[in-house]
Amino acid sequence: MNEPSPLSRARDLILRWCDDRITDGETAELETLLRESPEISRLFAELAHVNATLENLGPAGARVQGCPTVTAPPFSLPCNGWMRPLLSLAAALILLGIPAALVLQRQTGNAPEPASSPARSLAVVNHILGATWRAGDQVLRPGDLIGPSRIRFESGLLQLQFFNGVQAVIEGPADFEILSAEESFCHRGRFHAIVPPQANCFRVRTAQGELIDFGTEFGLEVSPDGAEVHVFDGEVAFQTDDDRIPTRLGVGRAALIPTVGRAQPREANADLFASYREVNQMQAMSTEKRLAEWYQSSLFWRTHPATLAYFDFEEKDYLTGTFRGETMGPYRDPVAGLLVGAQLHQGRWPGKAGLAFSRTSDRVRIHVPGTHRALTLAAWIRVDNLEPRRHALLMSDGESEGSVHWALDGATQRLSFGASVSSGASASQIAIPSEPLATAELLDQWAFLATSYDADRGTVEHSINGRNIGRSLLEKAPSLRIGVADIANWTSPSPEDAHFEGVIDELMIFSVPLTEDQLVGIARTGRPY
Amino acid sequence: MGPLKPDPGAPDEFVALVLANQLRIRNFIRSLVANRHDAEDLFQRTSVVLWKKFDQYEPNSSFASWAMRVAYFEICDYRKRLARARVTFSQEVFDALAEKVAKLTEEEEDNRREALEACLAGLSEQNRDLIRMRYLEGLDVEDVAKLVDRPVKTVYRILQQVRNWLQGCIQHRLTRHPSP
Repeated sequence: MNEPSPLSRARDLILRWCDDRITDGETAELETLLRESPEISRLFAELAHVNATLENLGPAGARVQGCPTVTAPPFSLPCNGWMRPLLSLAAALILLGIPAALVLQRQTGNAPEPASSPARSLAVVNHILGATWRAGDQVLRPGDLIGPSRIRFESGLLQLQFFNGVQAVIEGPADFEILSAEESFCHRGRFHAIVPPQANCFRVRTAQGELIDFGTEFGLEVSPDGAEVHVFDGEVAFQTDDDRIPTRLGVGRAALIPTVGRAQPREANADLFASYREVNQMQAMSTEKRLAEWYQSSLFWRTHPATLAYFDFEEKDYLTGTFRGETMGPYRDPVAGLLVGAQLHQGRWPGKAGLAFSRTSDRVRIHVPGTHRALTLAAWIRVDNLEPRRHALLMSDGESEGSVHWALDGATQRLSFGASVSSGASASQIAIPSEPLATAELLDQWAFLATSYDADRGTVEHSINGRNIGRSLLEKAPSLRIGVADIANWTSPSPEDAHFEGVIDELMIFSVPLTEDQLVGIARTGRPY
Repeated sequence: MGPLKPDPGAPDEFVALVLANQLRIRNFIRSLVANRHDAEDLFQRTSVVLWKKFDQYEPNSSFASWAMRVAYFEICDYRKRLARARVTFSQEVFDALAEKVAKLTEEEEDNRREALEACLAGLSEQNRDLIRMRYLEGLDVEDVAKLVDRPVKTVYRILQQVRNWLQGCIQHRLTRHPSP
């Protein structure tokens, strides 16, 4: 039961092979799989080709050291052809690895054509705390890569990790310009940096002059009054346009360089600046705050009259393997979930539980009574695997009139809602897919998926994180009956119909179509980052 | 300098052909060689052999398939050396894979690349950044993990998932918009 399917095992082994991480035993295992199945050979060719293309489109140019016309690939994705054939013959030969002397002896010397020099990322945004942005500011998010660019925000903290090792925190209101890996311009704001020895000579310019760091920890505040430099470790030099010789400041020293007048010595004051370490701590605290906010909001929904079933997967009854679903709705008994196989797992935040579904049999069995003219199905999920199959989210047993099928289609990259309708003697299915999802949006990160159904208006609406991803009108809209159903699985999985692989930490079923505002509200208070 | 082709126009023509087909050739080799540095080395060896034997190339025939045949023999030599150190696929399985990869590279390369670019555009920013760092920047998984401050295991797993997803996405696009 715990064995992965040969196909998913093969995927794993093939990618390990591509990364040259495969052991001898695994190579033998893969050989057997390849011998047994032409389908797996085909999969090998396709996966290895994806891997090869990613590698070969990317750094082919970057391998050529000291060859500026062909160095870095264009950095933005997607673009039309990463390897543009703009290379001079000489550059091309170097790129191809052919000794140029073999060929170049006959060349008449074409001047190398300049290739555009693409922007390189220099830092990554690690954390953002309470940042507010003005209209027109570029809004940053954790995980964003930053190249040479200007960062402006009104308030809050931004924690940056430069790729040369500098750990920086910018506090708003700030206007900070990254010019290169070594050089920035602080127009306004508080800036704290821990500069490791390998990144020394990290420079920050201001209107008052330039600060040069020699591998240390310092703070810089730029306000309309001037620039204030505080040294917490190591040594910093500050040079104004008028200075012939830079002023050196040692540990514990500070200086105010006013817009007008002479520099004034100060004592360094670490309390003025939020450091990288402090932001990490604050981030942890903000996680607790988010959890508390989510809980408050969830109390509202779990006791809402329109709630048919609500699961936060927090408390499992270990004796019976059930989850106590909660609802104060029209049905007195809360809908309980019977756990089959799935494991408790961390949810969106440390301290929030969820259920991890990984094995082909994992599921939660529920029973939702009643016939409904409207429904909203909503869940916070984190997808761990999205093979090109239909991955169940909520599936009624059987195909009787009004039974509900809610799934993620890995092949078409869509969220899909289906219901059984009977027309005369024959039964058929309506299936309403969403617009294609930016599916890797789902991989390894939390997303709030919802589908609202309204039989009277004949509408089906899908959304992800509160954003509408498809509204459809139905000609024939039956009443729905969820009945006995599985969360995260099909009654009988098949090669096309797969279980959900990932974590679900909240699942809600409402007897009304939630409005867009309500969905946006749930997405906002529940978002983990 | 014996093996040089006497025709003075040959280098231009040769370089144009290799440049036009280099992604195919590189992809063919890399798809059959587990170690990327060895694959790069084999591409360079293949390029030199192609140049030396350029007079054997039939103009107007498929340069890519000629180049892949040359590359195939280079990879076979390499496999013999490699087999002394570790377990490799049997010749039979390798040949079957080589045939599948050659077909895919010969017939679908452009469509696959286009589909890949479209699918990359569908990635979330976070996942796209990981792909950028790992493949465009050529960083090791360990370095990527440090930069994004996540465990190596997680980053490795996401990269696995994303590649799996890209393969599915490409297949889906190719079936939906089959090439004429």
